[in-house]
Amino acid sequence: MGKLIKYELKKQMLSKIIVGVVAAISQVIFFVGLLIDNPDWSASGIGILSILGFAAMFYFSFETIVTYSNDLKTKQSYMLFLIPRNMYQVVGAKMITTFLQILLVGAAFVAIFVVDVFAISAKKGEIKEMIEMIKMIFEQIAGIPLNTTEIIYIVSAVLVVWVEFVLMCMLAITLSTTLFANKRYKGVISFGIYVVLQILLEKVADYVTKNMMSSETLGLNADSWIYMGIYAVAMVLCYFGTTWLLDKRISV
Amino acid sequence: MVEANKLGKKYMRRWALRDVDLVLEKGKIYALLGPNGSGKTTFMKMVAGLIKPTSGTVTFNNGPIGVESKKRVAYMSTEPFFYAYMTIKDVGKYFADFFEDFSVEKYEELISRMDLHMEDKAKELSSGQAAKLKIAATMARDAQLYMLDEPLNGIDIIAREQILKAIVEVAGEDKTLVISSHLVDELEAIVDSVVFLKQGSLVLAGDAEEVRIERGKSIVELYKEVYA
Repeated sequence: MGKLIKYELKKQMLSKIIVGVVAAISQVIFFVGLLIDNPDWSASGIGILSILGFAAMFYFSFETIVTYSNDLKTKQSYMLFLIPRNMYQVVGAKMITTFLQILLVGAAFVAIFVVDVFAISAKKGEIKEMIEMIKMIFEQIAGIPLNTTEIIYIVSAVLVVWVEFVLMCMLAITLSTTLFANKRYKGVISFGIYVVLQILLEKVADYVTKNMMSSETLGLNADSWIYMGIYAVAMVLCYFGTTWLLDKRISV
Repeated sequence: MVEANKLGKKYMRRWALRDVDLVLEKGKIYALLGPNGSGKTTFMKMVAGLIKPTSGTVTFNNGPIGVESKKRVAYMSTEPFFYAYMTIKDVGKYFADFFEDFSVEKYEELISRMDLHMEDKAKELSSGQAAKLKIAATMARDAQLYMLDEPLNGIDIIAREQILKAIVEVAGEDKTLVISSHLVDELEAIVDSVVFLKQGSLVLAGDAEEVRIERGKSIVELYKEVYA
């Protein structure tokens, strides 16, 4: 599966290079601002970096979905369907690639951010105040006091929800390709299928947390973990559903 | 080697292939003949595992079409299908990564013989060069079955000779080749057997020499008779 993952990453390499270059430019702006004591430059550098981090994660997920769509509707599909690999490996490679991209991009931007914070501290000598300020900002954004459990929850939830989103989109595209192979507006149909599936998932998650398992029966904050568990189950179902359709129904 | 029983594929209301019974034997070169829409590509793609049959069955070495058959079957499509970012060298690396029977040395030799350059981008090649690249990638495999869909399409006469030479070189007792083409006269000299498809149905199949003697006509003349 490693080779499949390698080629999945290669297919989307250009966007990663562009993001890397823009991140490098933002860092140059930041450090120049720090060196010449120009807070506007430093703030601009950090600002570009923050926006880029979120935009990159969104774009890479979107690109994974577009690449998958092309893998089904263009002749490029032969690159995957002619090789002696089963569909569990092919879809699994896409799932792991999505997971790795989110994890690595997130980690890279956090690492850059930490380096920037330490650079400011080294220059200004206010590391403790800086860390407190960052913690306060995060707590305001998250709406909860930050501790290790909450940080683990947030990172896990982002990963699960994001990968589930990509896999559900892939399932919707596969369903529309299976059922409406020769129809126009397949893209619109895929979007419609995705919306229906996502609404169903939300209904199930709401029903389970309200009627079967909740914070009242399981303890404080259990709702959030149950919600994430339901999304994880949906992620696995999307993986098996997509693979089954590709294996048994799809002609390219 | 390949056995199709009542094999069929239906798209919406139209049958692209219908009730085809056909056996492809080891060590032979087959010409798969028929005009556009006769079902040649559909048949090849079903054996390659790209299309699922609507009816009937197809097996390779008595087993289903799947991961194991894909290890032994080399299919070359009419259209280019390599990823946009790939150079000719990348194509070789991709095939080497996924096909155990792929020979990098043979690929390099074929690329050199066909006047292609490893650094060239696959998507920027002319149609003739792209056809040569597809042939090189396919024929560099040591497969049991090669299926070449219109390998001579849009190719000039010099390149045609190069491609036919590369095809004939791999033929042997344990190899089977299936070649589809409109250029029947080019194929007649190299094939052992012929398969005529018309509007998705099998109309004639057999040993090329026996067919010629039995019908008293060349394959080219028969082609004109069947499809005129």
